[in-house]
Amino acid sequence: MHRVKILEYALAALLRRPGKSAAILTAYTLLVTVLCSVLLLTHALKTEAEQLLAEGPELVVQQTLAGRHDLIPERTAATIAAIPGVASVTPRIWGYYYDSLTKANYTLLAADPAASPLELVAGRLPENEGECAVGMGVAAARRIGVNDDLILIDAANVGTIFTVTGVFKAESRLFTEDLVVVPGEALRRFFAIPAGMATDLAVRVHNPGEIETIAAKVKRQLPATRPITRNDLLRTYRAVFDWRGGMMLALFASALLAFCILAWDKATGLNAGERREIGILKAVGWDTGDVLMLKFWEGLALSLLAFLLGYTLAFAMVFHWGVPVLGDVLRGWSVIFPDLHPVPHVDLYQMATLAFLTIVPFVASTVIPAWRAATSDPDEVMRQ
Amino acid sequence: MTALIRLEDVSKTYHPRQADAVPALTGVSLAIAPGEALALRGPSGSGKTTLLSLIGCMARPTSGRVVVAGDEVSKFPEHFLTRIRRRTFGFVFQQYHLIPELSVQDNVMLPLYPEKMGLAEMNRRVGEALESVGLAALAKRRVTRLSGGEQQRTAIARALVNRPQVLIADEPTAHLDSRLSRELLERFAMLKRTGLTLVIASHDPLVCDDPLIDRVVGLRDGRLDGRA
Repeated sequence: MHRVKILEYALAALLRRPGKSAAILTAYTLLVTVLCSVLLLTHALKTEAEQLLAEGPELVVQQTLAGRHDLIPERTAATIAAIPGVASVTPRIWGYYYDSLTKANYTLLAADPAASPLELVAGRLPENEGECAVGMGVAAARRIGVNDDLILIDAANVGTIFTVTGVFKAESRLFTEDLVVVPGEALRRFFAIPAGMATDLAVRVHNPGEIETIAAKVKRQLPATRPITRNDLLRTYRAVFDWRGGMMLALFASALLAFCILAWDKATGLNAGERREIGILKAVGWDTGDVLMLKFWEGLALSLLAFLLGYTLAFAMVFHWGVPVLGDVLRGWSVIFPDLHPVPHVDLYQMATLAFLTIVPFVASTVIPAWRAATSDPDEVMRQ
Repeated sequence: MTALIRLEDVSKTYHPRQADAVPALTGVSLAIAPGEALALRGPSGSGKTTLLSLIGCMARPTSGRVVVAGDEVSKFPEHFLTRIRRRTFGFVFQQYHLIPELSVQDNVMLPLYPEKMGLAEMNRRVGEALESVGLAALAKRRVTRLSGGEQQRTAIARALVNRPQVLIADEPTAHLDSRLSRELLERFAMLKRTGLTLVIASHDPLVCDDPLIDRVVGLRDGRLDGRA
């Protein structure tokens, strides 16, 4: 009852200072929005990478030559397939392609409908020589659609015409945006990959718990290879997005610091009126604890509201408004930036962390300045 | 009769041990009986307000003892002092010290928040207090829209809402004309008849010479003045 009454008084006190309350709320909401946007987007990108990788092979084996990635003989697949626990080994043909016309990198991939988790937004997958399906970014960059021609320069420096049979969609456009899928043999000729060679081998295993063991066995039996597990890829993606998110937060750190100083000095510090009010409350019998509870409720109400508003705004920005500004910085992979629309997802642990990071400092910066006034004799406070 | 409040050789210095230390009271001893109406008389800066603060447990003496209802409160921890202040004393400050953004009834309700009391009871007590000072009709009005006399009556209602044993008033007539001053003294006389102890600091002869006052104590330069 006592706490509820003081909460009521605190809320009324905030409403009695509408200008100041609104200014703090606006500034803090903006700050929380930026912070939450970066963290939500980083988290969403990592989650999507995880979801998409979950569809792919558990293990990819590359050939290395003097430490660089080289073509791998397809016969190596038989050696790997003989390792106990391996379910299948599939040679893959793919490669990066720099398009000087649009100054963008595309990823060219051999069509494999059985292994691909990718869906088409329109048309069909390529089946015949001279056909291809493209990601939305490629379609936009080259201004092409189904039944249009895509001309790419092959290994012999000759223009090759592919007719677009489909445009990709996926749960996320993170991986399909810069994709060009063509039939396997056509891609082999395009890149001049000799028969019996592949870009890498996709390995599926019966028991995911054995991936690391199988990777170790591959490395032992084929020392010139580099087995890359799905966890390795996940770690790389996490590191890349965490690094970008960290960079963004570092850039915002100065703004954050400036706000904190302002908040400490002006917004949440005690002005003469507030100091006097504390003196009056103490004089009429409020305990130090009551005064601190009042300030706690004031700080909590403002920062909780700012957090909820900021989180909602950030959520809308990241998951509905296409992440203006931040998206390009965080997700940038090739020159083609996908118009990313990550799948909406609420992570309660992340939300609790964000709430802790934004609410606790604000409440502390509200309560601590009041502490000195609240622990002084009321006579002293009112004389100041 | 046993004193309700007793000060023994009390001194108060503001900012002690600092270059700008200000001695406000020196060696004051005083006893106040229950139901007594005591006036503290002295010029500005004589230490009246400081003495009221010490009597009302709003400040602690730098030296000496303050005893309230048999307890030496000068050594009490802060939360005990708060409780004594809330249950024993009601204050009417010279500048009223109302919270300007609040209505009359919200200002009067302030001392009741820390009490274990429901909202209905709080409203009833506030209604009673406002009725006793003739302000029931202005309960919802913001205090900044009241006259000086009305603000003072609000301050008195706030001081009485917790049904204290002692009412402390600092220069209560300082901002009132003679008609309102007489009305105020009549109100104080009425409160005294209910058994309330009154401690009033004033240099206004109208107050100090009023028949309601049982005793006048003089203060000069922070010391009791025998000439009063």
